Amino acid sequence: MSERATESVGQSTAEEQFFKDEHPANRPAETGDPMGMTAESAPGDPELMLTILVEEYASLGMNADEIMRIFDDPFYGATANLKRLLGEDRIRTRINEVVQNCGALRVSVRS
Amino acid sequence: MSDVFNWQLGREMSYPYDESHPDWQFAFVFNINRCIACQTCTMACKSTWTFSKGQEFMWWNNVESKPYGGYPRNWDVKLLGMLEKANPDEQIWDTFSKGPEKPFGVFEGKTIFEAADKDPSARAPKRALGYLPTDEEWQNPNIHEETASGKTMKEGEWGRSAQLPEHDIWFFYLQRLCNHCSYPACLAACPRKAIYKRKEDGIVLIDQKRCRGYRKCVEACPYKKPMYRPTTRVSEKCIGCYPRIEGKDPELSPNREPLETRCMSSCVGKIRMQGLLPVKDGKWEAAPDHPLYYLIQERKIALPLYPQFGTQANGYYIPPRWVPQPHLEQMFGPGVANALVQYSCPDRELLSVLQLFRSTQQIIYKFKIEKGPKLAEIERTLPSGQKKVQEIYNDTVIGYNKFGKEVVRATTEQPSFERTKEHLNSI
Repeated sequence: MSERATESVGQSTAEEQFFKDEHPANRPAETGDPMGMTAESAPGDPELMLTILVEEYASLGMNADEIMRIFDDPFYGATANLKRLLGEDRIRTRINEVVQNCGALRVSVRS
Repeated sequence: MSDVFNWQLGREMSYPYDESHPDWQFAFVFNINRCIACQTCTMACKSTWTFSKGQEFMWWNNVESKPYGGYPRNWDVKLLGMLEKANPDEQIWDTFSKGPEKPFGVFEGKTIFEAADKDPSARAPKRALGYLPTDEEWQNPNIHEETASGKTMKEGEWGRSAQLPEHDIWFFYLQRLCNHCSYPACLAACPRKAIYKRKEDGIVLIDQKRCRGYRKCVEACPYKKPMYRPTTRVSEKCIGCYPRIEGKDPELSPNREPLETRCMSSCVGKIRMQGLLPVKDGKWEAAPDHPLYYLIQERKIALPLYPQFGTQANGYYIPPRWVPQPHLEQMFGPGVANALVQYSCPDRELLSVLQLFRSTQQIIYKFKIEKGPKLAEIERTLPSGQKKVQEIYNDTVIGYNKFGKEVVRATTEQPSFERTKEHLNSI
């Protein structure tokens, strides 16, 4: 193994260790940390949130593929987070279920 | 203190100035059910009004995740806590005494104006209960969702220097801007009388020449929407994009047609609608064919944010269907149950009006529905779990601008259903 490759492996390990131990996403919460989460989790149902978001966009006239694209875009926080949490298959299945059951309203707008 | 009537509370309340109302009132409706947190509204506002030095932490429009988050951080939880401390166990609604003048019943607790003298930390008499957020609280427009975090890399280093934080528990996204309240706390608190409400549209503005940056408005506004700018040493706030409201954009409104604000007209998810409502004798003039009046007063599916604060805010929200009701009731008052039931299975008229959201940049002053034949029946689930059949009609909703000219026409053509894989080619 070349010297450069060894350095690269070493760097990667140190980096991984840093993210494991020190990245804010992984560190345990500290009392008094102004950046720490202090809120309590509240009861919420991501499945219900998913269903309703899909119904909303179906009622705006989007079909299953168009709705799926909203979930694929990482810049749409609500839908991208749902996809990360529930997985692509679950999202696709639910979109199909909703569109098969409620349909997508076809709306024409002229201005 | 004067007694003024606040219809959202269903009663008169104390306010530092006599009752005075504009000819028209700036108002808006946000449908939380459709927000996907793309922050396009936030950036549209930022890139139009607050891109200069000293405005780095200033977000006149922001979208925050609830229940955690908030800009400034925990603004609502803090103030609710102060109100509860000022009036323990008494911040309650009497929902039995509903009537035409009091659609949500009567709020029996204390507003921020009525609890102003209950602040033990106040060194001098206050006009509204409030607090001044710290610099740290202003730093994050939506903490843990807006900023990349991670190790700061040295020059020449590379790798995973930053990543967007992720979290598993979230609730819904709350879109916020100045509510251009009917009884603004910022205006009430200003010792310089630098804040005024415009007679022509009810937009609340800070006179930059009169302001001396005492930050009393920042302290008093329960929604924390006036913000201090250190470079000019005065406070600033949302101006309701008044040049657009006045129809002064030569390209977009050549005939001076009023346009919706930047944050409204840029909305990707079609959740926003804004308009001007006629005011007569201190009340909104009955206008059932005005889309905002229809949603807020006729159907009562759009509700004020924290009506118990007492400012009679003019921003209204269609509450999200997936959130437990007790949480929503604290936020939007006792009208939540009715709003959720109606919105879960909209009738033909409501469905038509909902299609007007983001169909045009022009402000819609009136709508008309042309009825069409029935197209389909769809089973919907109500918040109680009960099933109800929604009837879909081929109706067309027509929107008219300030001059009575037709500006948009939206037709619900028909629902299209997708076949399952098993029946792809069946006839």
